[in-house]
Amino acid sequence: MNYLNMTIGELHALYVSGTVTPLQVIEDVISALSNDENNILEATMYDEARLAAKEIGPVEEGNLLWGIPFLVKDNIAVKDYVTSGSSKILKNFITPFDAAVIKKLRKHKAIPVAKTTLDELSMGGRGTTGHKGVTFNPYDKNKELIVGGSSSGSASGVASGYVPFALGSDTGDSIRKPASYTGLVGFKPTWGKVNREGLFSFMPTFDHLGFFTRSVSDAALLLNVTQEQKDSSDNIENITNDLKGARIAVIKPLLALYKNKALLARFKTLLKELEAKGAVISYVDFDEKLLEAIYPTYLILSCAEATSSNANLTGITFGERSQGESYEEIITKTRSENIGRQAKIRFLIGEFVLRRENYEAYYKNAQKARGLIVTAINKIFENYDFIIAPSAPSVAPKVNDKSENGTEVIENHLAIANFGGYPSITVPLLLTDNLPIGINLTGPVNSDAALLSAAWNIEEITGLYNLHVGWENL
Amino acid sequence: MKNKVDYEKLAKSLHLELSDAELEQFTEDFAYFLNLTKVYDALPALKTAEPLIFPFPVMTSELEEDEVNEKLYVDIKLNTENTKDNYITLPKVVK
Repeated sequence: MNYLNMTIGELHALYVSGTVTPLQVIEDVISALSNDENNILEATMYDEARLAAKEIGPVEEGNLLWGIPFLVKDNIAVKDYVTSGSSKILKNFITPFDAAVIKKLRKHKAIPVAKTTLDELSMGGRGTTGHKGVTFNPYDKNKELIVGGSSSGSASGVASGYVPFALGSDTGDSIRKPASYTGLVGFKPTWGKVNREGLFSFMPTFDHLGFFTRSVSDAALLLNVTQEQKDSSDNIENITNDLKGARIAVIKPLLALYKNKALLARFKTLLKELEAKGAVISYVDFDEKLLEAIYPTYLILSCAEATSSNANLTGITFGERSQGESYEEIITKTRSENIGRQAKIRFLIGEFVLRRENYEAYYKNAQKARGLIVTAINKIFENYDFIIAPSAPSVAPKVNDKSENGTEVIENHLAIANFGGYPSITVPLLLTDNLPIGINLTGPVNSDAALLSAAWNIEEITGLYNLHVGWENL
Repeated sequence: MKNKVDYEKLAKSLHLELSDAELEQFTEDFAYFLNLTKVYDALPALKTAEPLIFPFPVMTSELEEDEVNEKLYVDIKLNTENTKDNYITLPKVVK
């Protein structure tokens, strides 16, 4: 028997019963990771993980994270290990401290085992631009499907069954979209609930830390353990088995853009099932031009902030350094030779929109558009508890498929939750041709507990709990 | 900004040099980006809207006091070989 493919709760029960030890589980995880063929690994921490498992002490019944192995997106600092952001320029960059979220997880005796791949510096949505190449979707043995990004390795690893959870970061949809493509729960709590100290800064006003799990209750547990300021409303015990009176909004012009028949049919059935559990479903209007403004606004603000956040990648004080005869030549060569194409293009757009002559037309207008979008969403939340929508228009696309023009809204609407700092969660909705698609719920700021409770009810309706490929089948 | 010269100038201001392939990709992506932003012309409310920097008051941010430290920080020492006597070394040439 192997002890992979289990949720946190299932593994914990085996620890408490004495059926298995953390060291046995860590050895299984290391064996599975060593055989991974989806390109999920940036760095491994096998020796340290073995040591932590050996020295963990007696089982702690009340601590569900005791001995639980996990993966870490490689833009999150782990003491004395390389944190590369999947960028060549940082491929040997050692972080001398643990990120705040790692400290909290270690305090609860969870065990980090490896760092995972991402789109370079988190800038991408497909898991294809990291310096180690494409990360693949474990649901496709032919290695043709993307896993999504930017938290690609974390999503692929949890969907493969290697570990019960992984850390990711989400600036536009970088946890919730890959979760849709891999049949996982992908949760980003309200902005700031989980301390971002030690997370590489991409777009500070949009960046969130969050989790990939295979059950909603595991996501709730992780929020409970890692949040900065404990709020009694966030307790897992608050998850209830009904949705009586929950007011759920469907944005009409957004839903009208979806074409996938299997997805639409399952979505509409789900709405009826939610009503049967006591929820009140309403279709609400939304300015279509505001919906269209989401993606360009995201691009402008994210590129601008990313240009600033990454201006320290010069090779002077850290990272790769190319040779040159002057200070300027060193910086130019270092950046040109060690930053990938996609990241460069985003920096260029960021520089363009921040220039004095363009500032009003682009950057300031984007800030205004953000204000309009957040105001419109907050207005929905005055009358509704959640917004519900499919997390993606389809199953995971192929690596070489390009995004079609005209699909920007349904491909990028999840960024709404980053615009407003709202808690947002993807849970599996259906499998079509054996490939998953997720459903997304977003709620007002600090409604994390209610959101988790509603998501738990969806999980109960769909029965899609602990979905994974099963590492032994890879 | 309309041509290769403009794009290269933009790149230079970021201390970047672009290969031909990168320049070609940027040309394509930049045109796509500009086209996307045309939606702002259809949002008359932008004229009177206030720019939003952040959507809600943040209660959890903590600022640490600055500390004077004459020695190189531990992370810099860990991550560069180009140090001497607690200073980072660079070529002497200054443009």
